Amino acid sequence: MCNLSAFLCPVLTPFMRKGTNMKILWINNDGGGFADHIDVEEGVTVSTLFTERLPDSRAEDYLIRVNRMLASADQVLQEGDRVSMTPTKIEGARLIA
Amino acid sequence: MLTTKELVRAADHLRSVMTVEPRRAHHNERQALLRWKSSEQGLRVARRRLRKAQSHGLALIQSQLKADVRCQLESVRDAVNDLMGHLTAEPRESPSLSFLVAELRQLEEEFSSLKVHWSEKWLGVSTESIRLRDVYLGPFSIRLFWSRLERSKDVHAFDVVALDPNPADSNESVTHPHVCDEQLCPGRASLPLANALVQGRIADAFCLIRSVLTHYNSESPHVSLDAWSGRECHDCCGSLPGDSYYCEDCGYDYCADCTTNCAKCEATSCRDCLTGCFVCQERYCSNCVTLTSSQHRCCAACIEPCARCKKPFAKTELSPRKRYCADCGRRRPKKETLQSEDHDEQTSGALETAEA
Repeated sequence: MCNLSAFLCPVLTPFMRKGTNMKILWINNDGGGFADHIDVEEGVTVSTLFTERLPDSRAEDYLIRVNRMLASADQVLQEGDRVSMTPTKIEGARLIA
Repeated sequence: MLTTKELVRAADHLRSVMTVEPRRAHHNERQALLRWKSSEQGLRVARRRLRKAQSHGLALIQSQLKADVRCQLESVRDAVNDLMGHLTAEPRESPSLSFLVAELRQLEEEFSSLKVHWSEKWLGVSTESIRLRDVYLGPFSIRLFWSRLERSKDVHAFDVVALDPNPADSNESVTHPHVCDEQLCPGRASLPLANALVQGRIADAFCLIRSVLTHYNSESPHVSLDAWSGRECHDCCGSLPGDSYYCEDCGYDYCADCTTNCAKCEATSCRDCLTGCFVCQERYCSNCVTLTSSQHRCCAACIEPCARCKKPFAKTELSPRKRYCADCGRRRPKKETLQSEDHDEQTSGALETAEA
């Protein structure tokens, strides 16, 4: 007798698990700087996360690293990943004495 | 490339200065408070300069001064947000040794040039050669002095050293529009840089500095790139055309808008080197005004010696008839005193005779 649940589980699991949140460490070095764990949807990609978190910015203006390494835009994030986004163009100043 | 042993040793030095204690947390909070106060002071100075330029009608420099005010406002806002963060934050754990080793490995990957100077106690990386708006600035060495991290986890822990310097013609200390005396003014990167250092994210801190170096903020440079290879007005910092003006008092170069002439000798002078006469309010160079005994500066036409003590005073300070200064006007000379006593005696004698 076949194990129906064992058969169905890998089929149904993606549907059952879609929409489930997972935690990642997100480091945003823009503005005041932000580094904390956030909840994101399972299966989210680097580019999706960027669009959600920095909607008014362009990805090409940022240094994006996942677990301290270069990442492609379509890389799917995993539970516990460390994602950092650092602007490559920041306005310096001169000291007002 | 550093060996694992060197990486661990460097990470250990960093960890020793990054250990967060309650006293250190209080220190960080205090640093945030001082940054807020400093940014407010910067805002006050910027506003004062703008008001001064507006009152003197200096149109050319106003746009730059307004940009300074905006920049300082943003600094105040960021500093307040940072201070709020410190006041509401939960106690943070110190970064572990393995965390810091990973940070240094990432730093090596980002820059390919990580170097540690053990005797001078810094670790540093080199950037690519930087060129902004066709001005060659060369590569820079970004150096983190770990001993400075104990005092301040911000940009002051870093030196930014030009490796092939092409400084501004007007100021050799400025090797980059946002670097003076090897100190970076991080502008919008101040807060994320400080937060990165507090949390031990060393690689992020270096990347933030590189992001400032590779970008030009034309609204707030030490020296603008337009004036990099030429002279600039010492007052408004605008670039000087061929026919600039030279202040004969201070010796600096100025544009036409920032100079004027002495009302007497017509020598060219900047606004700061001219003095207004206490009486007539005309502006004169230092050679054409005299300091009076009452410590006022007056032109030759408005100065007059006291008729009694002969000391120089502004003519409006002397009495109208006798032309005495205030001190001499209060004193009566001996001869006059005796004469007035004789006169009184004569008068009283005459009265007695008349009564008799």
